[in-house]
Amino acid sequence: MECDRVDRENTIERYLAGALPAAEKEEWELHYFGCDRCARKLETLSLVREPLQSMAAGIRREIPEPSKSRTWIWAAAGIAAALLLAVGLGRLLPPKPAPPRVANSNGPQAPRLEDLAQLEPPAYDPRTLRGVDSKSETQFRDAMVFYQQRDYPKAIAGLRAATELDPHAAAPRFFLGASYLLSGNTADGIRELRAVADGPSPFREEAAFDLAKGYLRQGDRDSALRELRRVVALHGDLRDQAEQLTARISGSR
Amino acid sequence: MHLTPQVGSLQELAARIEKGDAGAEEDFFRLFEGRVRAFAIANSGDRDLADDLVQEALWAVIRALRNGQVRQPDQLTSFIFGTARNLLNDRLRSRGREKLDQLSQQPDIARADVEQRRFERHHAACQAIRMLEPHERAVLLLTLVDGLGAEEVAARLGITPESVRQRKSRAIRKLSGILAASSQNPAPRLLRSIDM
Repeated sequence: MECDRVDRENTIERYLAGALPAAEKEEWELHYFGCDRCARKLETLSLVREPLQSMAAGIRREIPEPSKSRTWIWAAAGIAAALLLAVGLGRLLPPKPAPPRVANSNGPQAPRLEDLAQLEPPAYDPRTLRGVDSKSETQFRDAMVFYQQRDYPKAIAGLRAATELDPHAAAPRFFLGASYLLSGNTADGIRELRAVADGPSPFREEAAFDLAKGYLRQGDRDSALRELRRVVALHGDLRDQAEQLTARISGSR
Repeated sequence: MHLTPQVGSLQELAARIEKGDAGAEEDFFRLFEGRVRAFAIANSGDRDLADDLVQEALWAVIRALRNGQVRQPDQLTSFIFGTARNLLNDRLRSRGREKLDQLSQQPDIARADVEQRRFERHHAACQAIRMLEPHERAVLLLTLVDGLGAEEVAARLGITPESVRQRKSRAIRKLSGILAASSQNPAPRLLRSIDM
């Protein structure tokens, strides 16, 4: 069994729910007894599953309800567009026999490149970065308050000031790059993330991964794949994710 | 498959145990404790039994290593899995027929230690979950507890399946880091005497 397949097929979740078929279950058990990375994920998820269940009601309250009115408007717009298209096409094109059922595939569609390029805000844990009493650190922490509020323009201003105070500090530059990407400024995001990815900092792996996302936004598959190969070669926490994204890019539209 | 024990290779660890290195036994225990516990919980749903099995299975393997009974050290992980599975099957078969298990004969202080550790693990897990972002908690709940796939979670949250995968991956990494930091506890984990 490959680690990539474990993530792709939600093997751990199905295992913990008792939903794996017997043969697959034994294959998975043999795998994780010999695989540190998968074992670590399993141990973490096994540990939090019960507490998550006990906290479920509170967590569900945090999940925003999809807006019904907006859904209705978009659904109506979609139906109207489909009708117009059907009427228009019907006038323009000669009637055709119904397509074979196989063309009406219900299977998983190839992912779109712009979907693969979506970036989740990199996690920031203030605990691990506190304690360095410098102007740059103070500036960085202040800027990260805006980052956590997803106010990226203000975060960018503060993080730029922090990088000017300490041009060699990796954390402000990494989050500056991420903030640029998250605010839609891909070129500047790529520039800052490249500086971090090419350096020796602990953010190197994550910077290379996010850099790949930046290149995907620009439609530059080759550069994205090159960065993902770097991530894989680092053998870090993002290796599985990089391998999965590589596979999805290969099958993307 | 990624085998990266921080204590050197498994073969080296096995060799150190065979030479009677107590530190190697602790390293070995720490390395496999979580997976044996997860295995037992997934197969029995019984956390008491899981805590017992961790002790019993890993001690059995340590004894075998000490006595040079593991003939193929390069297949040590399969040996550990097989030992855990056999012992678990024995336990499940004898459930209800035996009132006393081996651990119940341990001094109360040992049982109290096991329960204290379980409480600490549960408490640490709750704390770790609270430290996640709300959207990370939501993804974990929907995938791990509700059993939804990435596409279903994406539809529920109004985001893309790729974002779901990213959020989940980040949440797991965050949780692993927080839980690893909170488990830096020097208290002894090995509860049994090797000679019993």
